[in-house]
Amino acid sequence: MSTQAVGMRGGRWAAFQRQLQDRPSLVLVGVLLFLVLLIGIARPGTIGGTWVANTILFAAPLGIVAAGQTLVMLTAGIDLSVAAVMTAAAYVAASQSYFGSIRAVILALAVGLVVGLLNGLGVAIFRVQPLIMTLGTGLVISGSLLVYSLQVSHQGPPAVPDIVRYVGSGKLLGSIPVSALLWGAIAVIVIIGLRQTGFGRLVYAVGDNPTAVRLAGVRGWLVLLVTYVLCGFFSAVAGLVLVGAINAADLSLGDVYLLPSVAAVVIGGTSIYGGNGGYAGSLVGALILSVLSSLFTLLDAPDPLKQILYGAIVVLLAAVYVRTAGDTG
Amino acid sequence: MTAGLLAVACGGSAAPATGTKKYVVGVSNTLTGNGFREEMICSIKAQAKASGIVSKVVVANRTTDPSGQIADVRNLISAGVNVIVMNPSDRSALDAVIKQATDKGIVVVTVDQGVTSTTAYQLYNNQVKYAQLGADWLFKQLGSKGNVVEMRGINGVSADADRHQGFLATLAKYPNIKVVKETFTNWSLDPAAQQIKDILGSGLKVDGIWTSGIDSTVVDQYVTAKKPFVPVVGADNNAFIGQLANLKSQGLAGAAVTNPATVGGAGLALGLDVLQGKTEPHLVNLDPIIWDNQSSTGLTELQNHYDTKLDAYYGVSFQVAPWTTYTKADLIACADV
Repeated sequence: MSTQAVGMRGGRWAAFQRQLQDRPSLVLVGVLLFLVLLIGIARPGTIGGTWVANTILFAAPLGIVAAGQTLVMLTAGIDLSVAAVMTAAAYVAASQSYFGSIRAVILALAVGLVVGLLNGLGVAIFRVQPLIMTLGTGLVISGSLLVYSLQVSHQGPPAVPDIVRYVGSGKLLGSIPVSALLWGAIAVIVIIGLRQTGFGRLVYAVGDNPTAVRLAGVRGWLVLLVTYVLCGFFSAVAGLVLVGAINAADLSLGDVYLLPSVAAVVIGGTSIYGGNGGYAGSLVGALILSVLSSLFTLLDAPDPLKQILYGAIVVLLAAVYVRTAGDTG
Repeated sequence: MTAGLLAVACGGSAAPATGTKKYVVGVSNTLTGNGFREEMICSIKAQAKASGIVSKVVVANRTTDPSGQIADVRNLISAGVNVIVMNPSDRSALDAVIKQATDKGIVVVTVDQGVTSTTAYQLYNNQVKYAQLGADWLFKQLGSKGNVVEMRGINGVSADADRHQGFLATLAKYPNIKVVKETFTNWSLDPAAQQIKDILGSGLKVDGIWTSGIDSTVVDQYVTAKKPFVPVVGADNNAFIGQLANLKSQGLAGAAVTNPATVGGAGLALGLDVLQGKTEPHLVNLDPIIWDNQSSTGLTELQNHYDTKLDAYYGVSFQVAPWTTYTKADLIACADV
């Protein structure tokens, strides 16, 4: 009797595990809900419609930059210039708003496209290691931005353009963040693009087996180039959403997003070796990191303890994910 | 021009009185992309130009740690500079390299933060007093009772530790003021905005906020959330000064405490004085000033210092009396000598 019960439990557990292996994002959603529950316990009355809206609003920049990072990491690359691009796009938009919102937004997005193109050329054509290439361009942008801030920008009052402010912190019908809709649209395009289009399949293929891709006659360099340009573009969009939410730009606004952009993707189950994963996981990963930082703000604990817990939880999440979803690497 | 004549007149001790002798200035900074630090370097360049006795400013500016700064200072010594203005990345780790420089007759001035070295000249804002001035104003504004949030800087940095010490010392005098939340903004805008968003959303009763300088971002989140303002204390940052002046009619009460980024230029002025044989104290502690928007004198200061053309977090203490002599235009232009 008892052995049978154990066997049944084991059977159910195995079925549950299979279910999780098929839908690894479920584990992450479970973790997310658990963290939300913890906030509900720590500060009763916090969780509600406004809280959900504000949490998504503040997670949107991370979610959008993680879209670009996911694409790059699927090709077995990494983009360490995303934070510098976010900062530059935000700063350019604020300093150029004097000349009109449209010009400010176009120039900000152009920064992302140009940097993405440079990264893509370096990685795809000149075969520079992505880590080194993007680290280098990140430093180049930061230095250029400093020169820009000293020499160019003080032609008129710096201000975040109204359209950017609306996208970053506005709410439709009084409750739905505009940035959430933008993030949602990007998510749909990236998820469907990766699953349903030829380009999407090639992104996975380039990351999984670049030699086979080359032998199959596919222009792998073009896939890489487009991927890095997209990542630059998404980073610039994330920078605009961020500066819209914060309402001021400085020379290090986006810096805090560099490691979280990678962490969200890794927690979301995309392999750093490429070819495996997807954006749905990164999206939940971004939400988890945002909720986690909210939890730590509301928790009354010494700062060093919070840092230790934050690091430990990120490691634990990655480990649990591999255990339940099978080895994604 | 007068400064140039002064150099000739006083040139006897440190510099030969050739009349054309110009000094070379070295600058060491270990945090890039930070508005405060960039303005600090600009103030050094502006003061170098204004002094008329500096031929060149050599800047070692990168994000690094004490060991990197030691290497940078050695390079400045090799480059033959006469005076080094540095923002020290550690209280004691740089003492040895400072001594190497001063042994060679180079005048070393540390600004913004202190060092334990006895041969360096030091010029920095009194950070304990910075916190005390703001906290005292805030607690009085609240009628000596209520819930406050303390938004600190970076955990483990000396300026943050000094300010926290000052904050606690003032807090001890107000038994009915309760600190309901203590956060570290890391002096970055995004974490501060997220913390305020979380605190506002948590239903925690907050009557006032003391910030270690990430100020206008806090006010902005109140505007976005359409919540009634509570009194806010911040620093002399351009956007915050503007908010205090312009949002007073909408119920914003607040005060800005000065923490001049232009200590760099003041440090250079001190160093050049020493090079020319003047006797200066080894420790100059700047006394912060508070401008609140509830008093007419404070409001006038806020209105006078606000400059719509400057960035949100540009420090508006453009001069450090009696040291700096440059023009505001030269400070903002940040041009080389």
